[in-house]
Amino acid sequence: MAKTYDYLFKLLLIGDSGVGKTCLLFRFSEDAFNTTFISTIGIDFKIRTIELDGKKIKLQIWDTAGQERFRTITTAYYRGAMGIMLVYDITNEKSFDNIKNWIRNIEEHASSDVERMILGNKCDMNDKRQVSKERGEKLAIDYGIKFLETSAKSSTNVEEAFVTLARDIMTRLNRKMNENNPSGGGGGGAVKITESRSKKPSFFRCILL
Amino acid sequence: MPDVRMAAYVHSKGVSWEVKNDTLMPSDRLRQDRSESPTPGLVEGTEPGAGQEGAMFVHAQSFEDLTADSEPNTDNKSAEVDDAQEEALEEGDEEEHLESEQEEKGKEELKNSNKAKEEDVTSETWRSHRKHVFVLSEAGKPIYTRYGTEEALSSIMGVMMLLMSFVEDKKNIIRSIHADGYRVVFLRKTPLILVGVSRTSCSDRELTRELQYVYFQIVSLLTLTQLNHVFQHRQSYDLRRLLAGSEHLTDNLLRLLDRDPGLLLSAVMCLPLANSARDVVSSSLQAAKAKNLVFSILLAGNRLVTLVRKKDQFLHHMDLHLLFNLVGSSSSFREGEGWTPICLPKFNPAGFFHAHISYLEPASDLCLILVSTDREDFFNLSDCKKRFLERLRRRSAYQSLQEALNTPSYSLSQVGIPELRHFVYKSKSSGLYTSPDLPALYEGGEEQERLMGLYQHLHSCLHHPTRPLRCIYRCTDTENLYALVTSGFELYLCFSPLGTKSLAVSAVNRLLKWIRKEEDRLFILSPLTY
Repeated sequence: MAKTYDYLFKLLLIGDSGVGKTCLLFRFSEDAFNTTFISTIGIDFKIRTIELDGKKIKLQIWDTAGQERFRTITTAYYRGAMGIMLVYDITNEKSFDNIKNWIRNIEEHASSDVERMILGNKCDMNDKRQVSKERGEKLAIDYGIKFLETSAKSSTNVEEAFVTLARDIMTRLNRKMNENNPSGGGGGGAVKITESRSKKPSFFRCILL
Repeated sequence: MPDVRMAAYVHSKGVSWEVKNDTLMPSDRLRQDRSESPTPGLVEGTEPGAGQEGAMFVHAQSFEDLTADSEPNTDNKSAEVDDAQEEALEEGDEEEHLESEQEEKGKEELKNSNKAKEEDVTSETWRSHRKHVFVLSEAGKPIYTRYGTEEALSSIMGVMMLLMSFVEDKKNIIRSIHADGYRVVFLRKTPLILVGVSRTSCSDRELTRELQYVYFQIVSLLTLTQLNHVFQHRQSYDLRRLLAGSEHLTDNLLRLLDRDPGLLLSAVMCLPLANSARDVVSSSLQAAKAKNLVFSILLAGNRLVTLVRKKDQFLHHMDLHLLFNLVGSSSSFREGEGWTPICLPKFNPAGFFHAHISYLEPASDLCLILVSTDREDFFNLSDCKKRFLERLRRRSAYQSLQEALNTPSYSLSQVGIPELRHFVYKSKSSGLYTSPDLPALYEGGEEQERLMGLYQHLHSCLHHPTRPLRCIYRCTDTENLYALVTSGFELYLCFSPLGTKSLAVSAVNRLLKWIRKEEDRLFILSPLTY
């Protein structure tokens, strides 16, 4: 079967329950917003294709439940993730404080070269804000991670967040490929992105067509 | 202890029923193996809706299994020999029942469900609910309440725990308190205590059964292993941390217990579907299998389309109800592919299965649940779903399914018994039941719950632990009810109040003929395995 994409990227959304991870994904994939809060159960898996710099990128997105009882199953999917979005809610200081715990989780379970991004969601609710943008930026700088404030409801910075993360993954991938092929233009061939032991290794392989 | 009163029910003699049974099976549909039964129509496995091969479910008594005091893998005090006698339903209770119904308007809406959580527990509104359910730990820590918030109820839950401990100090067990039209039922399932409060006609055993379901819902989320582990390490642990985000599952389960006869009967209703179409769906699931796949279940809303299982593995009705509840309580599975740990407590309370849950199409009501023993199995199961869909389309079965979804039920007019308002028929050997749409008279939530309450009452009379009945006929101001249980089936019927008992008895014969004629469509007669 002919591939219909140039790259396959695996993304993970993590963060406390109720911060808006699923709403961000819904805004990105369906360009819609649902005001009813429905807890994600376990992991929700979606595939979306975007175009970036002339390349078709298939995004395999894992939206995780934030509750503690799902921790064992959600962390099993950290490895193999190429990009991770850590989401907090600007109206909920505890969710911001927990970003450090989520980062620790990533360091423990994800591959070391994973691209990360911190998102402070619900920035449309400025009247209930508990976490200033400056604090969010500072945390991200401390960890060397990109930062954006978003609103799934008002569609602020959502597309930008996904595109930025995908571009960063592509940049890292291209850099790695250049290291593997110092001569540059020669035949690309298959490049294994991570050391994942998944039973479907082809999902983590990119092929230049 | 309340005075023991004889139930003033009309008892119908079984002899006349047995004689009438001889005419049940229409000659044109007589089957070889069934005609050889000594008493056709009565023997388990030959009733309408019975499958020809092995059942899909664990074969269980509809009532005793769920309320048995001794269960494997759980610690339980030994049961007392004598259960308290139930109070007979009286007209006064009936009126009170009706009055309390008025106050329940709108409670089923999600919006009100959220408001119910924030109710002031000192208010009359909170006290007026027909039913309450509380879950606390053995240390008295609040875990769940149906109405209000757990924080606001911590003192009340402390009193409940104290009542239980006080009685147990005297080497006894508290089972229930009856006072002032209320029933308070206690159930200890170490390390949890469950308390149900009711001012309906519900018997103690019915309330206990509902608490059992709540308990199993919690085990389904955590496993018994984890539940015991967290409390062994810290008796005062706040279990709400682990249960966060699951309150709507328990809320919805309690709504189902009030409205869905399947939970009462330990049975499941099928989507009416032509036999040939169902066979194609089943064989397509059978073909799309994987090494660690144990169950493949296709649901249509709250109806079962088909279930394919690994050989020698059986699914208990209660576990299937928990899966229905999981899917029905959450719309989060609609858009993508869900992957979640789930414990099926009747199958194995100690460990998790993992379930791949997805709708065949986002706008469809067809939901496929693939249950695996391997937590790394997501992509295998995702592939199973794709293969299943391809096969359905190739064999043109998908269109039949979509058409069947347009008529997910049937109206009583199809049955052609004008004096009959409603019925629920359960085939014991298949564990499936059938029931028509509610007529306009019972469409409102309150009326539906009232009718279910009447069926529930008949059910508890038929299955009384010490004085079970074979049949019961009961007249009220608003309807006449007839219920009977045989070795093959259970049947609950609702008639106009102008009907007579002899009319009811003859209606049963006609109804059974109709169900026999329609069994190919209403039941799964040929379950498959991998």
